[in-house]
Amino acid sequence: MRPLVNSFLTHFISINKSVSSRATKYLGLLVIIMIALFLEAYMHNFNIVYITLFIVFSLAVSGCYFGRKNLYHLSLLALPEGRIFATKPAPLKWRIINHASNPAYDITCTVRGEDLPSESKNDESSQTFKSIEQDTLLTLSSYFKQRGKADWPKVTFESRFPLLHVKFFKVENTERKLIIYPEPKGLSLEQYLKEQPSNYGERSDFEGIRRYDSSDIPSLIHWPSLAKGGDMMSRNFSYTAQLKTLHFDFLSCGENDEARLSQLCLWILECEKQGRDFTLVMPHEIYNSKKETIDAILQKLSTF
Amino acid sequence: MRFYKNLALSSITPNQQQLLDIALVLAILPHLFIVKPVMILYLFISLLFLIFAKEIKGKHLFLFGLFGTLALALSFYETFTFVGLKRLNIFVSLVISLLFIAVVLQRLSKQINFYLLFSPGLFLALSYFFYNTIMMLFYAITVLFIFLVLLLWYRMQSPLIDAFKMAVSLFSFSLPVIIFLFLVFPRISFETKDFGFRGSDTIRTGHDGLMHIGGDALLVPSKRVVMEVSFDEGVPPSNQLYFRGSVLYEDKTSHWAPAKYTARSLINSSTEDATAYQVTLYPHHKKWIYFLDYPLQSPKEANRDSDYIVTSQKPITETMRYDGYSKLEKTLPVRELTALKKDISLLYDASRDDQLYTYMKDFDSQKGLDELIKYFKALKLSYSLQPLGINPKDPLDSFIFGNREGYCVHFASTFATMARMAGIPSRIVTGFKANPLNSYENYLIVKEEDAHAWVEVYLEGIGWQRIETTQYAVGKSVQQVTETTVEEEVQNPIFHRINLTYMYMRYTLQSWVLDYTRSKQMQLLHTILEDVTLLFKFIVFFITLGVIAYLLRELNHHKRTVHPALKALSPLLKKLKKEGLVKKDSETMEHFLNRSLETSKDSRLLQVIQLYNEAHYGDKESSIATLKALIKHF
Repeated sequence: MRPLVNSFLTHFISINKSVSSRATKYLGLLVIIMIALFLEAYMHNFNIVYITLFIVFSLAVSGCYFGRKNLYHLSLLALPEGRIFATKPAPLKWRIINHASNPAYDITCTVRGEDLPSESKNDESSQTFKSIEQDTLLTLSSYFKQRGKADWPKVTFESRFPLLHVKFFKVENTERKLIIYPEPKGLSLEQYLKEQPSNYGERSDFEGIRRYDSSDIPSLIHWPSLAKGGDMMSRNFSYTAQLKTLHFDFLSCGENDEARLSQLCLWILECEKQGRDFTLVMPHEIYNSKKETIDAILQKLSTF
Repeated sequence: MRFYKNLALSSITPNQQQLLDIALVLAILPHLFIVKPVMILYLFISLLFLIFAKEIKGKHLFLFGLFGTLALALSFYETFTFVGLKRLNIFVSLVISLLFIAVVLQRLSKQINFYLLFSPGLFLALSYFFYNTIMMLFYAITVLFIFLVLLLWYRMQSPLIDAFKMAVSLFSFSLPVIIFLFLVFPRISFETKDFGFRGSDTIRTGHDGLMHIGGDALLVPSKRVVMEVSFDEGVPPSNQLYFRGSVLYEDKTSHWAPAKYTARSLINSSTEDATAYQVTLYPHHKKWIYFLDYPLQSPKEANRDSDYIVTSQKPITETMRYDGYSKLEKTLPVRELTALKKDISLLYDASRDDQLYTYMKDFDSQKGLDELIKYFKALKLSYSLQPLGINPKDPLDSFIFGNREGYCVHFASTFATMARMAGIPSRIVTGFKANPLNSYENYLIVKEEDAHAWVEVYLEGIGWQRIETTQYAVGKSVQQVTETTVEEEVQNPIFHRINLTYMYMRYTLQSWVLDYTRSKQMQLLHTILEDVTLLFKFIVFFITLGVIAYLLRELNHHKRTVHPALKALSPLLKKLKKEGLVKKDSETMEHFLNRSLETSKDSRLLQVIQLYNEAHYGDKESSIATLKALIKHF
């Protein structure tokens, strides 16, 4: 008998500890209803009104237990998938596991990350389920300001089930880490290559002239055209062969470390997109895309 | 039947408006018995428009408001006065009618607002002003339960059966709290006689303070209940079940009437060795409060006179519940008779009943009561509930020397007159002689048909002594006649028993639930605190209730449907279990399969994971078939 009572009490305490609650505006309404019923019963000594009052009160009390129980058996499993970049909305996935044999009802899951900037705010930071049976996929958007390692954001389960007078909360922490890559930002790869033609290969035959582009370097300007009073033109060359491997240098690609990392991140992603190999010269290391995966290189950048 | 099954299991949930309509109908139902027909007509017309018209707005809605006001005016045209508003029932009726109009207008506009959502609860609460019965209690509990089911059905968006099960669980969890609060919550009340429901439950008692003996003698065969009595220690024997009503002294030929003198009031006597009982007396719009012969005390604001008749100061227009203490003896403790009372107890009209007077001429007044009984018996009168040939102008002679058939009133009037002719002061007492067949354990019902009359004679040095005159009837006694009549009328004794049991249960519920007062509460608490066994029983009762509630919740668990992909995996899970690989509660199936793959190094598991994911998340039936085939060859 004693172990049974102990386990029963432990169970109750555990439910109360893991699920918190907050009154809603409907609790105020409920209180008004109960006061009105009490006054009616008080004036007439009608036990029928007292019984109604007790039923309303008792349902409200047992509703709290059922509401806590509704959330108590829910847990989360983080599903690492995709790349997450700093300052960009990050779609994260979890699996909601309901350990109870009953479905959980009226659940709203909200991610508790850093606040999304106003321009990228949307409803994806919370998701509502009418019921959660055993295993449900949850996808929410989060936001990270800085690169590096971060905790998986906590998710809050909210529910006003079964009655409306109390809102129940359960905060779930997945105890996993995330790698937040630097924000891909800066000069595009194409632009960079124009500024650094050596990265394209050796100049060979003169192919003709074309209209001047503001990004053209001064050595390409076709001065005779300008001297004749015409428009500013640039010389166009063909290159002998494109360099198979691009070379990025950490120190020369930005003003500060964060800008450099963002720039490199952008170029690496573009290289990956275009299927080009590269070498990345970091202060004490050189990374080669042939030897390491893109994700491994990005991870190194994010933890630099 | 199929429809209900489909409804219970279907995952289609009615919308908020439909659920609200169900709640409104349930809450309005008790009011339909109270509101005036014109208001019901208004509701009916509104209902027709609600069903057949799409949406009513603008001018049409205004017209409906106007019709509603007209219906309201017609409903209260006769009864309404501004002074009348002080009476709560008129005020509440007005509020209900206004609420009807508001709900109709809001509902016709087909827009749900907070007030409309709240209105079913308001209707239910207002109905309590008019009904305070066991039936209403059951109805209210049922309606509250249905409200809960509807709310949960809407919130859960699941089949009705799931909402119902959840509501049962919630209710059963609430039950111990409800009972505990009911028992211990302080019952403080603001008593006012002007508030509350009055008088529609009025009944005739069969006792009106007079006793008609001629052709207009009224025999009351009705089975309507006059009062319900609960004895502390079992129902007394039949010869002690006399409920005293009026004492009649004056023979007015066609009827007997009370004497025109003011009887002095008696102060309450000690209740030691008295028979204690509780009475629920239904409203009869007269002042009599009935007690077993003879009462020792009277309730508050009531008077017990020297004839042991208890009367209220005002007519009883509401169900009255009171405690009774009586000494069940056939002789009243009145040692001395006043001269006035003696005179009126000896009055008779010899010229009217000349045959009887002649018969009594030979009577030796020295021989007293026993001789009088012999004389009475010698008349060989028979008891009959359908006597013939009784002349209203000459009721006694026509009864005694005619068909010789009569019932209690004829027997009593004859005996009382004979006693007076013999020089023994006598009077007639009318009231009720309860039938023990209408009792169940310590519970007794007194019906209209139990109305009875008997005689009291004054014996020097002893007092007023009750004489059951019908016992001297030839053939069947009154008890046998009454019991036979009951048995004859109750063609099915089992049904009679069931009916009696039902009434007993109703009475018990009434007295312990609806009439649970502060005094009962204190009495119960004292008993519990004094009696450890009872306290223990109460604790066990509450624990049992809690356990039942918990078990009900467990039993009501919704059986989850297992995904076919998981079903297909189950043989593999068993095999893995044999190898010591068990899925943890905290991990997903995919996680577990990956862990198994790492441990067992069986590459086929990789394919299983892929197929499982396709089947589970892609809902591909072909993948399930392939998965099953693959697992078979493991």
